[in-house]
Amino acid sequence: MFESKGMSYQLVLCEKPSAAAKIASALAEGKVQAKRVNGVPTYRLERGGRSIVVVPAIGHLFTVAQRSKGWSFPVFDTEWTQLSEGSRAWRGRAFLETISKLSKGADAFVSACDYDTEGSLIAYMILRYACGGADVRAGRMKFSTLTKADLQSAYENMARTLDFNTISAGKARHELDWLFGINVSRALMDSLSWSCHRFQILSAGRVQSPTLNVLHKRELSINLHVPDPFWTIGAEVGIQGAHLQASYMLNEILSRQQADGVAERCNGKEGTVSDLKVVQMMIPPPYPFNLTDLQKEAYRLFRFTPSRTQKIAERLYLDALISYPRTSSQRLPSSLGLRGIIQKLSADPRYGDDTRDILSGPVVPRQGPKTDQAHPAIHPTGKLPSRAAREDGAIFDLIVRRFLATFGPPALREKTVISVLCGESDIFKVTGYRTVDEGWMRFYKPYSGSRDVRVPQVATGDHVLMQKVWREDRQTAPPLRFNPGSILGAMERSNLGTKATRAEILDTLYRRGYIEGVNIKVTELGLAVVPVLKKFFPELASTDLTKKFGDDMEGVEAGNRSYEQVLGLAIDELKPLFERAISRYEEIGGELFKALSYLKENECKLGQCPSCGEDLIVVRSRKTGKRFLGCSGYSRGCRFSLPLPQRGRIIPTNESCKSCGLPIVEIKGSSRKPWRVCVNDKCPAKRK
Amino acid sequence: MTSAQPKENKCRICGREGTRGLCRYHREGCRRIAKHYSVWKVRMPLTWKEYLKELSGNEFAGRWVKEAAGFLLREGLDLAALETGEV
Repeated sequence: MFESKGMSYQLVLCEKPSAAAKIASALAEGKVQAKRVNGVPTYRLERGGRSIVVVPAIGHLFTVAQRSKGWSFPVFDTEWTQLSEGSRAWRGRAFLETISKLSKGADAFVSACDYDTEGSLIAYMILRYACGGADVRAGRMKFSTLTKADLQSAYENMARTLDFNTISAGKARHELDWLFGINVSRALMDSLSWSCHRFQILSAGRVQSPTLNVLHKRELSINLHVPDPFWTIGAEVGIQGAHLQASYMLNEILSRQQADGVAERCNGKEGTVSDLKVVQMMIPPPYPFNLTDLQKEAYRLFRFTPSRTQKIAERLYLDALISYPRTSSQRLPSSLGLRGIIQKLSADPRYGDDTRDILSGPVVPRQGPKTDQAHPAIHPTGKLPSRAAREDGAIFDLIVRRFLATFGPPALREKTVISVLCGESDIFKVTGYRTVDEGWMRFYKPYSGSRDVRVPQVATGDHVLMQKVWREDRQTAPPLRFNPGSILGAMERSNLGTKATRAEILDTLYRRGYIEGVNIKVTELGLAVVPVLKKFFPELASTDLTKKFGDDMEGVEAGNRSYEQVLGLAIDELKPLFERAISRYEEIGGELFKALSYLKENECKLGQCPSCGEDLIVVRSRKTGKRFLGCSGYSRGCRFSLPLPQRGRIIPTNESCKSCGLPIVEIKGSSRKPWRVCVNDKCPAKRK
Repeated sequence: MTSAQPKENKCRICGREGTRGLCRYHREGCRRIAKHYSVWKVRMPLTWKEYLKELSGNEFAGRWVKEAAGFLLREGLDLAALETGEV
């Protein structure tokens, strides 16, 4: 251990091992002495004649837990304790022991964890509980990138105290989330076991439940959609030898006869250009990326889920390639040295021409409306990747191009609308688009996605041939399902979660089995739980209460409210809700039982028996313990059965095999992608 | 409570818990089917039966609407039965 040398040192605490290595090498004026203590990487270095020891954590090493022992409900007595459950607990103990030992030889402490709520809280907890209350005498390094220059500047200009308002907001958020999650989940599970003696893990959360409610509402609109018929007119016109698509003046015609009338009147006839409108549109450059915008764009372009994008962005940050990604800011202050960053990027041949263009004029980015007190918008640091994994490279390129695009001039697009009058009153419109000046779009290629549709030059009175005019039968479509990109937008609009937690909440909903698929579908379990939550805990399922607590926590961070005040008010508000739940245990449990029984029954039913028409169900043999497909009419003499795969979860699909007519099931294993298979082992399609 | 009661409370379409033979989802599906028939009647010359047949195989119709349309068709229930609350 370093303290054995007898010299005291300054202990710099980092959030992750990779960040510690970067920070140590940035601060060292000479050689860095790296040493593993108890499996924990530590670094000793000299700076300005002072000894420094850099040591990492592995994220949160403390968590909220119940102070009293045993399972009770409602529970409001909380305390912060060392991580004791989960895979990180064992490793976490080694880190805490090492940090604690190192703290004994330290005469000064510095928090160099990520500069945000979580980072501030991680350092505070460790300094307070593992370093003998060093939180009150620790300094705080504030940085947005892990580049040498930024880290050195953050060290030289560190704040003399920790950011206690941010820490209080973080503590309040964790404790509130815990109180919500533990109490609602226990209310659901307790009531089920109390009324029906059945145990099932059911979870709910402060942000998780309102998010699930938003998805549930969409699921209902889709599943209960009744389409209405309407008609449109399709047309193809010939102008100066070019064949172009035209649209009819009415987007929606509510009678088939009327639509047929238009088609009959205009098909093959000649029309004249009755009006010509040319409009030029100025398209301003996009805003710099904040995390949510980056996640939405990465989903649109690469179909990366928000959590995947966040992980990649965090890797790029730890490699000092981009700035801190967990930011809401859409602003790039000039203090970042933007010209210098662009100059560094010009060393990459991919960005050479674009960066030279930008550097030839004033370097002023477009600023968005959203701000973040701690960090600027996501931007490249100017460091170029030596070798990046394919997905990391894609996100890096997207961030660089978006960054460069914000400095570009507005793009100029021209829209031409040719109105064609056919007969006395039928007007068709041919619309063309042309990019007059690419502006910022040339820096954002290939992601800008605007296409040109050329139309010939015409003048009013020119003749046009209506080559083909036809009726199109249409019906109103249901709303689109949310995807991981669009649900993030919806959560942001409703102020659900924070930029850092939204992707994680979505992952939890997937993990708990409440939702599934890329085009998000609420599962039968989700459909069963949401009505119960809405009926018995309407305040918790709605976005209002969550939003109110979110505002309260912002107040704590801004220093307008105290942590104790917010938590006290929250408990006052939650206590009667949970106490009311106890008096309705039988009802809650009864409803849950009915919904879950239905779920269980249907999970077993795979289709209809081809012999007797009863349900085909999954049965487990008492003799061998193996599962197989049997008929629910066994007691009435039906002996139909088929073998089933022994591994993975079997999910009914409500589809039948086209070859043999027997049910198709989905098998979901833990190690591979789910696959669909016909239950018939002798299916003719399998023999092929 | 009689032993026959729980069965009557099950949805005749999906087996979920419900009242008067239908769960909340399929009951709402039936209500919407009846409501939209007034639109279809004006725009398409379809009888009630043809309308239900169309809906039960329609790609835009929601899952519960399709199932409810199929059920109404099988049971031969007309619009009046829905309006009088027979279902």
